[in-house]
Amino acid sequence: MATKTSERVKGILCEFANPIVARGVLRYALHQCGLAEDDLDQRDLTPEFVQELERGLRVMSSDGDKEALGHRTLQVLLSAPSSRVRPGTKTPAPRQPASHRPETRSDVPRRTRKETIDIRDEVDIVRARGRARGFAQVVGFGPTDQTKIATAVSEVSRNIYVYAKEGTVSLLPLNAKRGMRIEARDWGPGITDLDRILAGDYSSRTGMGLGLRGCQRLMDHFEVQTARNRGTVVIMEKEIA
Amino acid sequence: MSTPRRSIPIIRLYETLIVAIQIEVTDHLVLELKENVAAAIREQDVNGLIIEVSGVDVFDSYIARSIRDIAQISSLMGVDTVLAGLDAGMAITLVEMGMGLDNVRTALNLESALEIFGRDTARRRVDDEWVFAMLANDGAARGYGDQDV
Repeated sequence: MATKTSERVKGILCEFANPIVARGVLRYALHQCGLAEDDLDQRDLTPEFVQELERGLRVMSSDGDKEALGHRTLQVLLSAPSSRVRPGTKTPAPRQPASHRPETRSDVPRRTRKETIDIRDEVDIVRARGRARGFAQVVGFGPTDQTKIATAVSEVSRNIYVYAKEGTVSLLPLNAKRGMRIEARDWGPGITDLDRILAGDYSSRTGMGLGLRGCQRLMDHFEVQTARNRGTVVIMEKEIA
Repeated sequence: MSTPRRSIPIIRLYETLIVAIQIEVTDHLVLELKENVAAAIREQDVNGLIIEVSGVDVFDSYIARSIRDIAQISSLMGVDTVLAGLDAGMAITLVEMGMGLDNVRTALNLESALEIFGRDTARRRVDDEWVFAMLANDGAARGYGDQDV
């Protein structure tokens, strides 16, 4: 097979953002749509997927002009005919044997569909960690991991409430493995000094540094995308051991 | 979303204040607790504070720090704090996050926590009785002495 669609999309995103941000935006959009990278080769890019890419760029881009350009042309570039995208595959690609297919959403219990909690109020922090604990339980985590997940969700929810006033926390099952993913998103001031915070050199008056570093230790995967005055996205994953 | 205003009750038992947190705690409730505990210690003659946390849903950095603050405030006011009922998962989580509860005495449950203070109180009573007895004897001795002279 020629270059993967995901590589092509990444290349296009690199026109508007640096490669690290581009990769993050792509991964975010994939997760939002419940897709794996390989799925992009199987079917046309959906409007929903393109929209998620745009949203990612909008949040993460630090350059206003490029961002505007991105909005206009992203759609065009992505929908441009390409030998690497199979033409006219509106219908799902032929099914591969079950053993070769990545685990899809139908393989996980129905209740572990994506859940999103709006954070606007202090009570929402309590609500978010309660929902996270329930979600973790349904996914199959043991009590200690449930507590770790609830704690991490409490930390990121509080950061949203305290620093950005408003945002969302999404809970998703992992696609390929047993586990869950947490995405905390806001459109607030962003985190300056992120590197210092995560290195442990710094903690705020309210102790945010401690909380974020704590999350990093509690989770298997932890990443922060942030840009000044454009918001922050914290993505965390934990697998069932 | 709004919930009815609640607060965490502070109960006095003999010479000990007991704070049993049995509801989901918002940041505001924890902040309020800090002030209420300080006020309760000021107003009442107590020698110990027990914070029972078996009902706490999550012990994140903010809540852990607040509990540590409460213990420090109490200590400055001459009252020892014992944290009771910290669940195993929460203890593991706290340690992994790198947050200790330094200088906070802990007990497995409320009963053991009460025993800690009970023991202290009992020992102090014995000490007090001995002092009183000594003073009484001393006074009596001097009294006799005065009479003799």
